[in-house]
Amino acid sequence: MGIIGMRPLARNLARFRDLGIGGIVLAVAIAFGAVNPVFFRPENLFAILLSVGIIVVLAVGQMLVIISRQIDLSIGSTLGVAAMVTAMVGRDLPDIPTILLAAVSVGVGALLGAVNGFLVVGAKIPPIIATLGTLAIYRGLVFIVSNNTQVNPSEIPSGVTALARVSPIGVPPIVLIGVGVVLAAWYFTRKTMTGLRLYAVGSNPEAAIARGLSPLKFQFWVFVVMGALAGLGGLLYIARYSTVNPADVGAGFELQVISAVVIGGTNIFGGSGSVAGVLMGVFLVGILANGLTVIGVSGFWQSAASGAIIIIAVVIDTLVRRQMSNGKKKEKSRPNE
Amino acid sequence: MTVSLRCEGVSKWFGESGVLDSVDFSVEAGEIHALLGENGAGKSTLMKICSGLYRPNRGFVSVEGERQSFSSVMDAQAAGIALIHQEPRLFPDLNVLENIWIDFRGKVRGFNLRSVEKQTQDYLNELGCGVDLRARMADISVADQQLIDVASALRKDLKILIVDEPTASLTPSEVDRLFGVLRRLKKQGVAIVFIGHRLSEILEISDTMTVLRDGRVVGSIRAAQTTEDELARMMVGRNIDVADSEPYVSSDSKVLQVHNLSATGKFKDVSLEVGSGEIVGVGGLVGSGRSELLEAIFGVRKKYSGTVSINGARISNALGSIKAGSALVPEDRGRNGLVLRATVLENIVLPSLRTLSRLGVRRRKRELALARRMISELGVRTASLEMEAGALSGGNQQKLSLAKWLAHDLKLLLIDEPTRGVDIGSKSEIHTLIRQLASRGVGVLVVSSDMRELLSLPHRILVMREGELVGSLPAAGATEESVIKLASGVKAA
Repeated sequence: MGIIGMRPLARNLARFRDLGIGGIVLAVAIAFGAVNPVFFRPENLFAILLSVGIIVVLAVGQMLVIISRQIDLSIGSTLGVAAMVTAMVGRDLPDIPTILLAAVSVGVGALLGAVNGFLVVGAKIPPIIATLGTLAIYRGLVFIVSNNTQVNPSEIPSGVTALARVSPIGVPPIVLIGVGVVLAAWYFTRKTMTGLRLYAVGSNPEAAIARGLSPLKFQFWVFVVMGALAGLGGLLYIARYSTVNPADVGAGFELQVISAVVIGGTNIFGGSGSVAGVLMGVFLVGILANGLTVIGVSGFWQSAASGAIIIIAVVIDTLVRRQMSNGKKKEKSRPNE
Repeated sequence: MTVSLRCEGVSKWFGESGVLDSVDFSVEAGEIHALLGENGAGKSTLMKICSGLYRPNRGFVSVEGERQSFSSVMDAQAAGIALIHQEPRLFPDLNVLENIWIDFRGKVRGFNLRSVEKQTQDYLNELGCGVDLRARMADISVADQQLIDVASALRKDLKILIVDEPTASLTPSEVDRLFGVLRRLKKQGVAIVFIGHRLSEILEISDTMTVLRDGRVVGSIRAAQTTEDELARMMVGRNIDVADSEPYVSSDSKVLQVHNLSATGKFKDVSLEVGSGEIVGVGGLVGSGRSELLEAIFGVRKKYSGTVSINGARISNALGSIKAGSALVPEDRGRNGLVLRATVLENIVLPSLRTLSRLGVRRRKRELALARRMISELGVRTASLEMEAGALSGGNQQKLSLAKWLAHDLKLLLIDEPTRGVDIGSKSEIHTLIRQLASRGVGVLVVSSDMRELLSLPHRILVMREGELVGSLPAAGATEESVIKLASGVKAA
């Protein structure tokens, strides 16, 4: 068989995979629109974009963590601490520049991420256990820091809430920030040697050591990056919802985010995952959350319904992938017969 | 000749147990130097020290006369040393090009993978490796993976190349290709350390050989001045008999009866019988369906048609097969034979838990007694019963995967490549074990690609070609030639 003939085939298959999830996203959107045309109204699409903008920032971070063979369950609580601290600083110092508030938010997130990284790399606690612990600890911190008092919309500096409003450019800054994070992650994973090494470390940690790479370094720094992105997510959360309630802020985000990352084709055992896929996964999760409300599914059923659709999406995706890899194998074995 | 790599008085110990005891070893530029020794003799440890993975407790490594103190693989790479491991150290999710360049650290402005594509293709062409640079490593054969491992070493300014058992999973023609590459590197003045088990191969490729035993150097010798027998003696410190099995006294009781067994695309219409106490060998080329046949007989592979009976009882799946007293020791110990992350003890008792436990509760005393007995009967060298099975050497793992079935009331042993990747000493011990089993009345069906093993171990040899049983030879009269002719379909002259 022409080895050269394999090239475009393999590339097309990879492209087709991302498109496959894209197709599911489109189908779900059309279905919602068919049931209730309100779904396609600009205000509604705008609302979807805002929530996607927040989730994607977290999902990109989680993708990096999962590629390195780890997981971070604490992101919802990390976002919560960062958002609460930032909102309180904004409340007490109303004239503070937004950029400084952003620095506070990202800084707090990075610090909490570094704690996760230390627990995993330094204290050798498996990531799923370490971050399950910090999920609870950080949530406790939100209550402690805020003295269980919420920060109200009137107390949020207007510079922050402006992030969720349409800017002179035509789209809200939240969306631009989301786009920026996606592009940066795409560049990092596809164009830099460090990005490539992250995949290598997740793909085969022992081989990585034998080739002179340091898995521990990567394992630590992805947690810091994840934390910083969760911190950024905290700022966007304040902008979007204006109210920061200690019990609600960021609660349950880890499930949405991990679903999005896995739907996006990231291998939960590390070593592979693409930004494009994760973006599609985030859209599916965002559209489901919004669409189920729009078509009037009762709140009791929403969570179950979105879970079911996620499982169906992954099953379809897996079946398609299996079909493709079978086709590939057949093609490979033909000349031997 | 200039000395390229030198180890002086290198000692290494892990906790209490010493692995290397003041080893002196040197390799000249442009020389292929084989490092020999039984499993556990310390070869791999010595080479891990040379390549920066371990630090010696005492002694030095020097490269071209300069003493080194490597604290990481990167340091050793910088000194021009590359190690090719027996299982290629590669990244299944990355493509070929990425795998080769992953540890590139040069500060080249505008470096990107696309800019080195042509250069990389040249390396691969030089190695006769025809894979696509964009192919995912997971989709590539082990032989090509090994060559890609070599290619990533060629990329660097290479002075010393260490190859650790590279041929264990290669076919003869792939071995030839690899040897061609090694010879070319040798001409370019690279010092090569070659670790291997197949003595004929080692005599063919190397100029000099050094034998290690129990962490010490036994001696160094030029290839031209020695023989396989002498090397084998140096390695184990005693004579090794490669005796044939005792002749088989035909028995009426058939342990295994297979009738017209077929599996789509793998083999068809295979009928055979194994008597009580008989060792039957199955020879043939790789891919002739031998491993699949064993799996189908044991019941882990779907069969299309045909019947399998053990001691007259029809068998339809693996559980029935185990209950009837049969055991399968597969070729890939790591994947199918052992639970590598479980302890030695757990591996031994696993198939016998039913008989060892009472009302579903495990009884540690009985388990320990059984495990101790097995360990001493089989001569498994392990520091403790609580050691992870994965930490044992290859030969000891193979003995362990036998041990776990011997505890069982065994009637039929199906064993696939019993001594692949195993050193000479363990090899003859494993053969002795198999013979002892047969003398106790166990029927043995053994698949082997090792011609000497196939001719000496079994009483009778079956030959498969392209999924069909094409011949049956009594071992006494069989020669290498007669087996190969049957296996490859050459008409007897």
